[in-house]
Amino acid sequence: MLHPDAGPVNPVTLSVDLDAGFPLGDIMSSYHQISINHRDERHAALVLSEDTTPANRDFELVWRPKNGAAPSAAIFKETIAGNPFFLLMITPPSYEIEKKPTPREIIFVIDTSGSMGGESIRQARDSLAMALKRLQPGDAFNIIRFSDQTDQLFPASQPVNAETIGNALHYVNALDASGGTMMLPALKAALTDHGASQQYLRQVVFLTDGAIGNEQQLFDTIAAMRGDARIFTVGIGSAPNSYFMSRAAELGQGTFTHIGAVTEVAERMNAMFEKLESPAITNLRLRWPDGAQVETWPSPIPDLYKGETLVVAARADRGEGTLQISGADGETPWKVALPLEGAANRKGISKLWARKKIASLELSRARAGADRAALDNNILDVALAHDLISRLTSLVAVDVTPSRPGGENIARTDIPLNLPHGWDFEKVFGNETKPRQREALASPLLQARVTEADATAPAGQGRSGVALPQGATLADVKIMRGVLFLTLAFLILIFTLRPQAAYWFADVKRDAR
Amino acid sequence: MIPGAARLNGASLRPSPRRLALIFCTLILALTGLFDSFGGARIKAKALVAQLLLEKAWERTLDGETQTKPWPWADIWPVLKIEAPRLRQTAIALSGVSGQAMAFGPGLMPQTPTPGEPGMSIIAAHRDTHFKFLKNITIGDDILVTKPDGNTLRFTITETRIVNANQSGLYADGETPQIALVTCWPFNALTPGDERFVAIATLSH
Repeated sequence: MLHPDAGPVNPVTLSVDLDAGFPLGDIMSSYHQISINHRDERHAALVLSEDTTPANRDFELVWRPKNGAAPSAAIFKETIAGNPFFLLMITPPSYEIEKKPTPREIIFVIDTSGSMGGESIRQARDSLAMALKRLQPGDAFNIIRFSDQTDQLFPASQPVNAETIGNALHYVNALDASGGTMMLPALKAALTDHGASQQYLRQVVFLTDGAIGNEQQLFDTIAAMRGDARIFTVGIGSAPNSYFMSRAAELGQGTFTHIGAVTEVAERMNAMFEKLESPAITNLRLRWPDGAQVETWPSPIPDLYKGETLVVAARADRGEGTLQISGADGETPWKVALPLEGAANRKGISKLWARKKIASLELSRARAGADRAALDNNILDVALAHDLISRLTSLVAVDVTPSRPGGENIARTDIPLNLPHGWDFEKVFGNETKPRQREALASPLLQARVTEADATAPAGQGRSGVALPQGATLADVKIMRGVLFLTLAFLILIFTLRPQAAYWFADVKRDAR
Repeated sequence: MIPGAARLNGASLRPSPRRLALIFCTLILALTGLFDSFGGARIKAKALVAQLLLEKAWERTLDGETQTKPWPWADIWPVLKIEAPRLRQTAIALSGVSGQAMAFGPGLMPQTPTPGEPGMSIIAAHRDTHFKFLKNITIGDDILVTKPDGNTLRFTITETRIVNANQSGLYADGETPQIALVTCWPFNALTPGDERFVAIATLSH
């Protein structure tokens, strides 16, 4: 790694030709200065303002559709080996006037089984309390708790008011984790509880670590009983069953939120609630031309939320006909027809589709009892067909010009790297002016820094190794304290209260007489 | 009874308010003491009884059952039997390392491989229950690990170290089949801390 005074290596120039397919609103680069040249309302060209930028941080580009009064949809196409791939983008309308929100009925389902013990149940309680405080008058709610038994706060959903919320907070505060996990009865209760009338938007929020074995049965129940309820899963703890939670949320047209630490509760729950509170287009349906075989991701199509763009990738067996999109914008039905022939050609759509397909295959692989070898074969097929890097494939560059004449020995050279932005060279490597070589990677400080930056690594497996669980109970402390207290009590009894005891003793004898 | 007695005998022996307060405090102290010692004993008893039930479930597992629950409402099941022959210790290890699971037995960390496969299998338990024997373990000791298929693998302790729980330096991926037995350190501390004792054993052929 190079000292910053040595100047940057690997300078980068970057230009982006952004053709969004819809009228563009804001374009922002999160970490770099860019200059933007608007070609027309859908089209912009942008370059980094600095001529040579060191490659020492991520480049992130964020763009939004221009606010329109109606939802809009755009479609793109790419044909690979005779198969058309489509990319569909749907953007929600932006409301100038605040629309009256649809009243919602929210059922919270909280896992209080033994596996939630300790830190997890605290996170769940905090999350639930936070959620309760965000409910609005006009909404209805209920809480269902389950371990190996199920019980609920109210027999049926109750309107939100000071009294019901007070009761609920009290109930949540008293929740403790023990017993086994029987999720099915709670799930059924949540999906059948029709305390509120039909015009409510039903949202079921599941807080659990997902330590269960009967996933398929639960998925079948969700599919059969869900009706138009939306299911939002909140994964608690450092390693929740993310296969179950993501798939349940996908089936329930909701989202999966992972809360790994108590400190994350406020931020993550707020983000989820902003979604819960602002569905823009619901009941989205795609009708492909009759007879067309289409594989779409995500499936089923989720709702469209305020300020977000819904991206659907599809692979079809033919590219003619009309795609009908319908949905509900609050009370108003919304419909649009897109002729597939008119889809503009774009590169990379098939890759996007393949990535989503691989992600979904990987998810199925995480499931208990999955046929991993067969799924690995599927993943390999998709990744190879679309030239993608996956867990099983990587890109190999072959340089045909010989760089080492035959007979010469192999030399090993370390390639200098830029110091990642925000790092302090002296703090990581100490006061050395010479660029450090590979050995620098062994520096414990550097490893610590790497771990901080390694937030996307699987739970507990950063560069610093597997995070180990707690290895002691409070049994000894409790026993020692208990015995100490008992001895103290006994001593007090003997030395201070003896006359009194004698008095009582005498008293008993008197009574007996 | 006390007021009645006081009436009969005059005020001389009647409990004064101070005395009553003392009686009350003593009572609270005694109750807290009882509660605490029972709470502590319960943890130990749970650890012992669970192992007995797990032993039964393990026998059924060896007979070919899978995910055998040691008791009907359990959400854990036996996955390994661990033995330290020199110290004459055995324990049935479980799936998972949640606080609840570790009250019943050592847990095999779910993101680590099954013992015998390449990489490091990490098994954790409490230093005051199932892994109490780790304080007497020495390099060269054998650790026998039996898998649900009945095969017993012999591992030999090659290294012990003290690490920080969040910077363990232990990695699940590797080429040599290894197991790491992990518990809290120091062994005689009263309260749980961040340091862990790790005994690493390598598969011997």
